[in-house]
Amino acid sequence: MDIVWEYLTDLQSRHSAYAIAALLVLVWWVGRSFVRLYRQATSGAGRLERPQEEERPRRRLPLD
Amino acid sequence: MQPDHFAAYHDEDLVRALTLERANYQAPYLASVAAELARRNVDPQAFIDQVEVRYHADAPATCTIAQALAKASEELPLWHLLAFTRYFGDTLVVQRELRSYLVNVYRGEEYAFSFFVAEGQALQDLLRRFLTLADWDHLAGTTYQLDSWHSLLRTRSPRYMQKIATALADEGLLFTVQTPVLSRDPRGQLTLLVPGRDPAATAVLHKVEDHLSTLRDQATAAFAANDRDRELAIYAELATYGLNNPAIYYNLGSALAEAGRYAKAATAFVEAASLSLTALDIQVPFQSRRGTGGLGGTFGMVGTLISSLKPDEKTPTDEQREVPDYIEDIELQLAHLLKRLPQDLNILHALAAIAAIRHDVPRAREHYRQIIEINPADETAKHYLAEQAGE
Repeated sequence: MDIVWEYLTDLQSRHSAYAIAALLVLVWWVGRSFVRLYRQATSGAGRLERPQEEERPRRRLPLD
Repeated sequence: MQPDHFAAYHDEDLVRALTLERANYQAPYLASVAAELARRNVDPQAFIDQVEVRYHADAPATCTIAQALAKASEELPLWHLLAFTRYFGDTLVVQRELRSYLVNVYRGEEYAFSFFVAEGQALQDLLRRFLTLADWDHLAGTTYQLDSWHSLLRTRSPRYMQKIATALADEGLLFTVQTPVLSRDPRGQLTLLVPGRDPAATAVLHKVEDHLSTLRDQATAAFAANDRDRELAIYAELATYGLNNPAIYYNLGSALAEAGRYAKAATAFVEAASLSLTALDIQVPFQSRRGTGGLGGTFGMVGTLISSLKPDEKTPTDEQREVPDYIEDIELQLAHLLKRLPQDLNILHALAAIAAIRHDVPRAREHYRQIIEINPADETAKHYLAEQAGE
Protein backbone atom coordinates (compact mmCIF):
# COMPACT_ATOMS: atom_id res chain seq x y z
CA MET A 1 0.00 0.00 0.00
CA ASP A 2 2.92 2.33 0.69
CA ILE A 3 4.00 2.02 -2.96
CA VAL A 4 0.51 3.06 -4.15
CA TRP A 5 0.41 5.95 -1.69
CA GLU A 6 3.84 7.22 -2.78
CA TYR A 7 2.78 6.91 -6.40
CA LEU A 8 -0.36 9.02 -5.78
CA THR A 9 1.42 11.65 -3.70
CA ASP A 10 4.31 12.03 -6.13
CA LEU A 11 2.81 15.12 -7.73
CA GLN A 12 5.96 15.76 -9.76
CA SER A 13 5.06 12.80 -11.92
CA ARG A 14 2.51 13.12 -14.72
CA HIS A 15 1.28 9.54 -14.09
CA SER A 16 0.18 10.44 -10.56
CA ALA A 17 -1.84 13.41 -11.76
CA TYR A 18 -3.73 11.13 -14.16
CA ALA A 19 -4.34 8.60 -11.38
CA ILE A 20 -5.73 11.25 -8.98
CA ALA A 21 -8.01 12.60 -11.68
CA ALA A 22 -9.31 9.06 -12.39
CA LEU A 23 -9.95 8.50 -8.69
CA LEU A 24 -11.96 11.73 -8.39
CA VAL A 25 -14.07 10.73 -11.42
CA LEU A 26 -14.72 7.33 -9.86
CA VAL A 27 -15.81 8.86 -6.53
CA TRP A 28 -18.15 11.28 -8.34
CA TRP A 29 -19.70 8.46 -10.40
CA VAL A 30 -20.36 6.21 -7.39
CA GLY A 31 -21.89 9.11 -5.45
CA ARG A 32 -24.18 10.05 -8.34
CA SER A 33 -25.40 6.44 -8.57
CA PHE A 34 -26.32 6.39 -4.89
CA VAL A 35 -28.23 9.67 -5.19
CA ARG A 36 -30.21 8.32 -8.15
CA LEU A 37 -31.08 5.11 -6.31
CA TYR A 38 -32.20 7.05 -3.24
CA ARG A 39 -34.46 9.34 -5.28
CA GLN A 40 -35.95 6.37 -7.10
CA ALA A 41 -36.76 4.62 -3.83
CA THR A 42 -38.36 7.62 -2.09
CA SER A 43 -40.38 9.37 -4.78
CA GLY A 44 -42.50 8.79 -7.84
CA ALA A 45 -44.88 5.97 -8.72
CA GLY A 46 -42.29 3.25 -8.27
CA ARG A 47 -41.16 4.37 -4.83
CA LEU A 48 -40.46 1.73 -2.22
CA GLU A 49 -42.92 1.85 0.72
CA ARG A 50 -41.96 0.72 4.15
CA PRO A 51 -44.11 -2.36 4.98
CA GLN A 52 -46.50 -1.99 7.91
CA GLU A 53 -45.34 -4.45 10.52
CA GLU A 54 -48.79 -5.30 11.87
CA GLU A 55 -49.92 -6.60 8.48
CA ARG A 56 -47.33 -9.35 8.36
CA PRO A 57 -48.19 -12.27 10.60
CA ARG A 58 -45.61 -15.02 10.73
CA ARG A 59 -46.26 -17.85 8.31
CA ARG A 60 -45.43 -20.52 10.90
CA LEU A 61 -44.83 -20.54 14.65
CA PRO A 62 -42.16 -22.66 16.33
CA LEU A 63 -43.73 -25.90 17.53
CA ASP A 64 -41.61 -26.42 20.64
CA MET B 1 -90.19 -63.27 71.33
CA GLN B 2 -92.73 -60.76 72.68
CA PRO B 3 -93.45 -57.54 70.76
CA ASP B 4 -92.63 -55.58 73.93
CA HIS B 5 -89.02 -56.60 73.45
CA PHE B 6 -88.86 -54.33 70.36
CA ALA B 7 -90.69 -51.36 71.88
CA ALA B 8 -87.46 -49.40 72.34
CA TYR B 9 -86.37 -49.91 68.75
CA HIS B 10 -87.18 -47.54 65.92
CA ASP B 11 -88.31 -48.89 62.57
CA GLU B 12 -84.87 -48.02 61.13
CA ASP B 13 -83.09 -50.17 63.75
CA LEU B 14 -85.25 -53.16 62.91
CA VAL B 15 -84.80 -52.71 59.16
CA ARG B 16 -81.04 -52.40 59.64
CA ALA B 17 -80.99 -55.64 61.66
CA LEU B 18 -83.02 -57.42 59.01
CA THR B 19 -80.91 -56.23 56.06
CA LEU B 20 -77.47 -54.75 56.58
CA GLU B 21 -76.67 -56.57 59.82
CA ARG B 22 -78.56 -59.84 59.24
CA ALA B 23 -75.29 -61.81 59.32
CA ASN B 24 -74.95 -60.87 63.01
CA TYR B 25 -78.20 -62.55 64.06
CA GLN B 26 -79.70 -66.02 64.08
CA ALA B 27 -82.71 -67.01 61.98
CA PRO B 28 -85.30 -67.08 64.82
CA TYR B 29 -84.40 -63.55 65.91
CA LEU B 30 -84.56 -62.29 62.32
CA ALA B 31 -87.97 -63.91 61.93
CA SER B 32 -89.24 -62.10 65.03
CA VAL B 33 -87.85 -58.81 63.71
CA ALA B 34 -89.66 -59.39 60.42
CA ALA B 35 -92.87 -60.17 62.34
CA GLU B 36 -92.52 -56.99 64.38
CA LEU B 37 -92.03 -54.90 61.22
CA ALA B 38 -95.10 -56.59 59.68
CA ARG B 39 -97.05 -55.74 62.85
CA ARG B 40 -95.98 -52.10 62.41
CA ASN B 41 -96.95 -52.22 58.71
CA VAL B 42 -93.37 -51.45 57.66
CA ASP B 43 -92.16 -53.05 54.45
CA PRO B 44 -88.33 -53.27 54.69
CA GLN B 45 -87.85 -53.09 50.91
CA ALA B 46 -90.06 -50.03 50.63
CA PHE B 47 -88.30 -48.52 53.66
CA ILE B 48 -84.87 -48.60 52.02
CA ASP B 49 -86.18 -47.61 48.57
CA GLN B 50 -84.79 -44.13 48.97
CA VAL B 51 -81.28 -43.57 47.62
CA GLU B 52 -79.15 -40.67 46.42
CA VAL B 53 -77.69 -40.37 42.95
CA ARG B 54 -75.14 -37.75 42.03
CA TYR B 55 -73.99 -37.17 38.46
CA HIS B 56 -70.42 -35.88 38.10
CA ALA B 57 -70.20 -32.51 39.87
CA ASP B 58 -73.96 -31.98 40.14
CA ALA B 59 -75.85 -31.81 43.42
CA PRO B 60 -77.15 -35.18 44.73
CA ALA B 61 -80.77 -36.12 43.94
CA THR B 62 -82.97 -38.46 45.99
CA CYS B 63 -84.79 -41.16 44.05
CA THR B 64 -85.97 -44.78 44.17
CA ILE B 65 -83.71 -47.76 43.51
CA ALA B 66 -85.43 -48.37 40.15
CA GLN B 67 -84.79 -44.77 39.11
CA ALA B 68 -81.16 -45.05 40.22
CA LEU B 69 -80.68 -48.23 38.17
CA ALA B 70 -82.32 -46.57 35.18
CA LYS B 71 -79.82 -43.73 35.52
CA ALA B 72 -76.99 -46.26 35.67
CA SER B 73 -78.16 -47.87 32.43
CA GLU B 74 -77.79 -44.58 30.52
CA GLU B 75 -74.64 -43.96 28.51
CA LEU B 76 -72.08 -42.34 30.75
CA PRO B 77 -69.54 -40.05 29.01
CA LEU B 78 -65.90 -41.03 29.30
CA TRP B 79 -64.44 -40.42 32.78
CA HIS B 80 -67.70 -39.01 34.07
CA LEU B 81 -68.92 -40.11 37.48
CA LEU B 82 -72.15 -41.44 38.91
CA ALA B 83 -72.31 -41.79 42.69
CA PHE B 84 -74.90 -44.04 44.35
CA THR B 85 -75.52 -43.70 48.08
CA ARG B 86 -77.74 -46.39 49.57
CA TYR B 87 -80.17 -45.94 52.44
CA PHE B 88 -77.72 -46.65 55.28
CA GLY B 89 -75.02 -44.45 53.88
CA ASP B 90 -72.29 -46.30 51.93
CA THR B 91 -71.51 -45.00 48.45
CA LEU B 92 -70.30 -46.48 45.18
CA VAL B 93 -68.78 -43.96 42.78
CA VAL B 94 -68.83 -45.36 39.27
CA GLN B 95 -66.53 -43.87 36.65
CA ARG B 96 -66.76 -44.64 32.94
CA GLU B 97 -63.38 -45.84 31.76
CA LEU B 98 -62.24 -46.35 28.17
CA ARG B 99 -63.20 -50.02 28.02
CA SER B 100 -64.69 -50.73 31.44
CA TYR B 101 -66.09 -49.11 34.59
CA LEU B 102 -64.15 -48.22 37.71
CA VAL B 103 -66.06 -48.53 40.98
CA ASN B 104 -64.77 -46.62 44.03
CA VAL B 105 -66.19 -47.81 47.34
CA TYR B 106 -66.77 -45.40 50.23
CA ARG B 107 -67.74 -46.60 53.72
CA GLY B 108 -69.62 -43.56 54.91
CA GLU B 109 -67.28 -40.71 53.93
CA GLU B 110 -64.11 -42.84 53.98
CA TYR B 111 -62.58 -44.23 50.80
CA ALA B 112 -62.19 -48.02 51.08
CA PHE B 113 -61.01 -49.51 47.77
CA SER B 114 -61.65 -49.62 44.01
CA PHE B 115 -62.21 -52.30 41.41
CA PHE B 116 -63.01 -52.59 37.72
CA VAL B 117 -66.22 -53.94 36.18
CA ALA B 118 -65.94 -55.08 32.58
CA GLU B 119 -69.38 -54.26 31.22
CA GLY B 120 -72.71 -52.56 31.85
CA GLN B 121 -74.86 -55.59 32.76
CA ALA B 122 -72.43 -56.68 35.47
CA LEU B 123 -72.49 -53.13 36.80
CA GLN B 124 -76.31 -53.17 36.91
CA ASP B 125 -76.32 -56.44 38.90
CA LEU B 126 -73.73 -55.08 41.29
CA LEU B 127 -75.61 -51.82 41.85
CA ARG B 128 -78.93 -53.62 42.36
CA ARG B 129 -77.42 -55.80 45.10
CA PHE B 130 -75.66 -52.81 46.68
CA LEU B 131 -78.71 -50.57 46.73
CA THR B 132 -81.03 -53.30 48.03
CA LEU B 133 -78.51 -54.02 50.81
CA ALA B 134 -77.86 -57.57 49.55
CA ASP B 135 -74.35 -59.10 49.58
CA TRP B 136 -72.32 -57.64 46.72
CA ASP B 137 -68.63 -57.80 47.82
CA HIS B 138 -68.04 -61.12 46.06
CA LEU B 139 -68.75 -59.36 42.73
CA ALA B 140 -65.87 -56.93 43.20
CA GLY B 141 -63.06 -59.20 41.97
CA THR B 142 -59.53 -57.81 42.36
CA THR B 143 -59.50 -54.65 44.45
CA TYR B 144 -57.01 -51.77 44.34
CA GLN B 145 -56.01 -48.88 46.57
CA LEU B 146 -55.89 -45.88 44.23
CA ASP B 147 -54.23 -43.82 46.96
CA SER B 148 -51.03 -45.80 46.33
CA TRP B 149 -51.12 -45.42 42.52
CA HIS B 150 -48.75 -43.01 40.81
CA SER B 151 -49.42 -40.13 38.48
CA LEU B 152 -47.95 -40.82 35.04
CA LEU B 153 -49.32 -37.76 33.24
CA ARG B 154 -51.27 -34.59 33.94
CA THR B 155 -52.91 -32.68 31.14
CA ARG B 156 -55.86 -30.43 30.52
CA SER B 157 -56.52 -32.02 27.15
CA PRO B 158 -59.09 -34.87 27.26
CA ARG B 159 -58.19 -35.78 23.66
CA TYR B 160 -54.50 -36.22 24.46
CA MET B 161 -55.36 -38.18 27.58
CA GLN B 162 -57.62 -40.41 25.51
CA LYS B 163 -54.79 -41.07 23.04
CA ILE B 164 -52.48 -42.15 25.85
CA ALA B 165 -55.24 -44.17 27.52
CA THR B 166 -55.97 -45.99 24.25
CA ALA B 167 -52.28 -46.85 23.84
CA LEU B 168 -52.17 -48.20 27.41
CA ALA B 169 -55.38 -50.19 26.94
CA ASP B 170 -54.03 -51.67 23.69
CA GLU B 171 -51.07 -52.96 25.69
CA GLY B 172 -53.42 -54.44 28.30
CA LEU B 173 -52.03 -52.21 31.07
CA LEU B 174 -53.91 -51.17 34.18
CA PHE B 175 -54.68 -47.46 34.59
CA THR B 176 -57.38 -44.95 35.44
CA VAL B 177 -57.90 -41.27 34.80
CA GLN B 178 -58.81 -38.98 37.64
CA THR B 179 -60.88 -35.94 36.71
CA PRO B 180 -60.75 -32.59 38.54
CA VAL B 181 -64.11 -33.48 40.12
CA LEU B 182 -62.24 -36.02 42.26
CA SER B 183 -58.71 -34.59 42.31
CA ARG B 184 -59.90 -30.98 42.78
CA ASP B 185 -57.01 -29.88 40.57
CA PRO B 186 -57.22 -26.07 40.44
CA ARG B 187 -55.91 -26.02 36.85
CA GLY B 188 -58.59 -28.44 35.68
CA GLN B 189 -56.07 -31.11 34.74
CA LEU B 190 -56.80 -34.78 34.19
CA THR B 191 -54.45 -37.16 35.98
CA LEU B 192 -53.43 -40.54 34.58
CA LEU B 193 -52.86 -43.00 37.43
CA VAL B 194 -51.00 -46.30 37.12
CA PRO B 195 -50.22 -48.88 39.82
CA GLY B 196 -46.69 -48.35 41.13
CA ARG B 197 -43.99 -46.98 38.86
CA ASP B 198 -44.91 -49.19 35.94
CA PRO B 199 -42.03 -49.15 33.38
CA ALA B 200 -44.32 -50.60 30.71
CA ALA B 201 -46.72 -47.66 31.09
CA THR B 202 -43.82 -45.20 31.01
CA ALA B 203 -42.54 -46.84 27.81
CA VAL B 204 -45.97 -46.45 26.17
CA LEU B 205 -46.04 -42.75 27.11
CA HIS B 206 -42.52 -42.20 25.74
CA LYS B 207 -43.42 -43.97 22.51
CA VAL B 208 -46.34 -41.57 21.92
CA GLU B 209 -44.17 -38.57 22.82
CA ASP B 210 -41.45 -39.73 20.42
CA HIS B 211 -44.03 -40.08 17.66
CA LEU B 212 -45.22 -36.52 18.31
CA SER B 213 -41.67 -35.24 18.20
CA THR B 214 -41.16 -36.97 14.83
CA LEU B 215 -44.37 -35.43 13.50
CA ARG B 216 -43.21 -31.95 14.56
CA ASP B 217 -39.89 -32.44 12.77
CA GLN B 218 -41.65 -33.74 9.66
CA ALA B 219 -44.03 -30.76 9.62
CA THR B 220 -41.12 -28.32 9.80
CA ALA B 221 -39.29 -30.21 7.03
CA ALA B 222 -42.39 -30.28 4.82
CA PHE B 223 -42.75 -26.50 5.19
CA ALA B 224 -39.09 -25.99 4.33
CA ALA B 225 -39.54 -28.20 1.26
CA ASN B 226 -42.71 -26.28 0.28
CA ASP B 227 -44.65 -29.59 0.31
CA ARG B 228 -48.00 -28.18 1.44
CA ASP B 229 -50.09 -31.36 1.07
CA ARG B 230 -47.71 -33.31 3.26
CA GLU B 231 -47.52 -30.46 5.75
CA LEU B 232 -51.33 -30.30 5.97
CA ALA B 233 -51.58 -34.06 6.49
CA ILE B 234 -49.01 -33.93 9.32
CA TYR B 235 -50.70 -30.99 11.04
CA ALA B 236 -54.07 -32.72 10.70
CA GLU B 237 -52.62 -35.74 12.49
CA LEU B 238 -51.01 -33.55 15.17
CA ALA B 239 -54.37 -31.86 15.71
CA THR B 240 -56.03 -35.21 16.49
CA TYR B 241 -53.85 -35.46 19.60
CA GLY B 242 -55.62 -32.45 21.09
CA LEU B 243 -52.40 -30.96 22.43
CA ASN B 244 -52.77 -27.62 24.15
CA ASN B 245 -50.23 -26.10 21.77
CA PRO B 246 -51.61 -23.09 19.87
CA ALA B 247 -48.70 -23.27 17.38
CA ILE B 248 -50.06 -26.52 15.91
CA TYR B 249 -53.45 -24.95 15.12
CA TYR B 250 -51.84 -21.69 13.99
CA ASN B 251 -49.58 -23.50 11.53
CA LEU B 252 -52.44 -25.70 10.36
CA GLY B 253 -54.59 -22.60 9.81
CA SER B 254 -51.80 -20.80 8.04
CA ALA B 255 -51.17 -23.73 5.68
CA LEU B 256 -54.93 -24.05 5.01
CA ALA B 257 -55.21 -20.32 4.27
CA GLU B 258 -52.25 -20.56 1.86
CA ALA B 259 -54.11 -23.43 0.16
CA GLY B 260 -57.23 -21.24 -0.18
CA ARG B 261 -59.29 -23.27 2.33
CA TYR B 262 -60.38 -20.24 4.30
CA ALA B 263 -63.29 -21.66 6.33
CA LYS B 264 -61.15 -24.50 7.70
CA ALA B 265 -58.30 -22.08 8.27
CA ALA B 266 -60.64 -19.91 10.36
CA THR B 267 -61.61 -22.92 12.48
CA ALA B 268 -57.94 -23.70 13.13
CA PHE B 269 -57.09 -20.08 14.04
CA VAL B 270 -60.09 -19.86 16.36
CA GLU B 271 -58.84 -23.03 18.09
CA ALA B 272 -55.38 -21.47 18.39
CA ALA B 273 -56.95 -18.33 19.89
CA SER B 274 -59.02 -20.39 22.30
CA LEU B 275 -55.98 -22.30 23.56
CA SER B 276 -53.85 -19.16 23.80
CA LEU B 277 -56.37 -17.18 25.78
CA THR B 278 -57.03 -20.14 28.06
CA ALA B 279 -53.32 -20.34 28.77
CA LEU B 280 -53.31 -16.63 29.60
CA ASP B 281 -56.23 -16.89 32.01
CA ILE B 282 -55.37 -20.31 33.34
CA GLN B 283 -57.04 -19.61 36.64
CA VAL B 284 -60.42 -19.55 34.92
CA PRO B 285 -61.47 -23.22 34.83
CA PHE B 286 -63.92 -23.06 31.95
CA GLN B 287 -62.58 -26.22 30.34
CA SER B 288 -63.58 -28.39 33.25
CA ARG B 289 -67.10 -27.05 32.91
CA ARG B 290 -67.19 -27.50 29.16
CA GLY B 291 -65.76 -30.99 29.11
CA THR B 292 -63.87 -31.15 25.84
CA GLY B 293 -62.69 -27.54 25.80
CA GLY B 294 -60.98 -26.40 22.63
CA LEU B 295 -63.25 -25.19 19.90
CA GLY B 296 -66.35 -26.36 21.70
CA GLY B 297 -65.46 -24.07 24.56
CA THR B 298 -64.93 -20.98 22.46
CA PHE B 299 -68.15 -19.25 23.33
CA GLY B 300 -67.75 -20.26 26.93
CA MET B 301 -64.29 -18.77 26.76
CA VAL B 302 -65.67 -15.48 25.54
CA GLY B 303 -68.22 -15.42 28.31
CA THR B 304 -65.55 -16.20 30.87
CA LEU B 305 -63.25 -13.54 29.56
CA ILE B 306 -65.99 -11.00 29.79
CA SER B 307 -66.65 -11.95 33.36
CA SER B 308 -62.95 -11.40 34.02
CA LEU B 309 -63.23 -7.84 32.74
CA LYS B 310 -65.57 -6.54 35.38
CA PRO B 311 -64.84 -3.06 36.72
CA ASP B 312 -63.61 -4.34 40.09
CA GLU B 313 -60.56 -6.01 38.59
CA LYS B 314 -57.17 -4.68 39.55
CA THR B 315 -55.79 -3.89 36.08
CA PRO B 316 -57.08 -0.53 34.94
CA THR B 317 -59.17 -0.80 31.77
CA ASP B 318 -57.54 2.25 30.17
CA GLU B 319 -54.19 0.41 30.07
CA GLN B 320 -53.78 -2.17 27.34
CA ARG B 321 -52.54 -5.52 28.49
CA GLU B 322 -49.45 -6.95 26.83
CA VAL B 323 -50.11 -10.26 25.12
CA PRO B 324 -47.52 -12.66 23.65
CA ASP B 325 -46.47 -12.11 20.02
CA TYR B 326 -48.15 -15.27 18.80
CA ILE B 327 -51.55 -13.98 19.91
CA GLU B 328 -50.97 -10.90 17.77
CA ASP B 329 -50.12 -13.23 14.87
CA ILE B 330 -53.36 -15.12 15.42
CA GLU B 331 -55.28 -11.84 15.56
CA LEU B 332 -53.76 -10.67 12.27
CA GLN B 333 -54.50 -13.95 10.55
CA LEU B 334 -58.10 -13.81 11.75
CA ALA B 335 -58.41 -10.17 10.67
CA HIS B 336 -57.25 -11.15 7.17
CA LEU B 337 -59.70 -14.05 7.05
CA LEU B 338 -62.54 -11.79 8.20
CA LYS B 339 -62.18 -9.86 4.94
CA ARG B 340 -62.98 -13.08 3.07
CA LEU B 341 -65.55 -14.40 5.59
CA PRO B 342 -67.21 -11.24 6.99
CA GLN B 343 -70.21 -13.17 8.38
CA ASP B 344 -68.18 -15.74 10.33
CA LEU B 345 -69.27 -15.39 13.95
CA ASN B 346 -66.48 -17.61 15.28
CA ILE B 347 -63.85 -15.27 13.80
CA LEU B 348 -65.64 -12.23 15.21
CA HIS B 349 -65.97 -13.81 18.65
CA ALA B 350 -62.29 -14.76 18.69
CA LEU B 351 -61.23 -11.26 17.60
CA ALA B 352 -63.54 -9.69 20.17
CA ALA B 353 -62.17 -11.96 22.91
CA ILE B 354 -58.56 -11.13 22.03
CA ALA B 355 -59.37 -7.40 22.04
CA ALA B 356 -61.24 -7.75 25.33
CA ILE B 357 -58.44 -9.59 27.07
CA ARG B 358 -55.99 -6.95 25.82
CA HIS B 359 -58.31 -4.34 27.33
CA ASP B 360 -58.74 -2.81 23.88
CA VAL B 361 -62.32 -1.84 24.64
CA PRO B 362 -63.06 0.18 21.44
CA ARG B 363 -62.01 -2.71 19.21
CA ALA B 364 -63.82 -5.32 21.32
CA ARG B 365 -66.94 -3.15 21.23
CA GLU B 366 -66.65 -2.82 17.45
CA HIS B 367 -66.44 -6.60 16.99
CA TYR B 368 -69.34 -7.26 19.33
CA ARG B 369 -71.44 -4.70 17.43
CA GLN B 370 -70.62 -6.56 14.23
CA ILE B 371 -71.76 -9.79 15.94
CA ILE B 372 -75.03 -8.14 17.02
CA GLU B 373 -75.65 -7.01 13.43
CA ILE B 374 -75.38 -10.63 12.27
CA ASN B 375 -77.08 -12.23 15.26
CA PRO B 376 -79.07 -9.77 17.39
CA ALA B 377 -79.73 -12.52 19.98
CA ASP B 378 -76.06 -13.19 20.75
CA GLU B 379 -75.92 -13.32 24.56
CA THR B 380 -72.16 -12.84 24.90
CA ALA B 381 -72.10 -9.73 22.73
CA LYS B 382 -75.16 -8.26 24.43
CA HIS B 383 -73.65 -8.93 27.84
CA TYR B 384 -70.35 -7.23 26.96
CA LEU B 385 -71.94 -4.19 25.36
CA ALA B 386 -74.37 -3.80 28.26
CA GLU B 387 -71.52 -4.05 30.75
CA GLN B 388 -69.46 -1.46 28.90
CA ALA B 389 -72.45 0.86 28.57
CA GLY B 390 -73.00 0.64 32.33
CA GLU B 391 -69.51 1.88 33.18
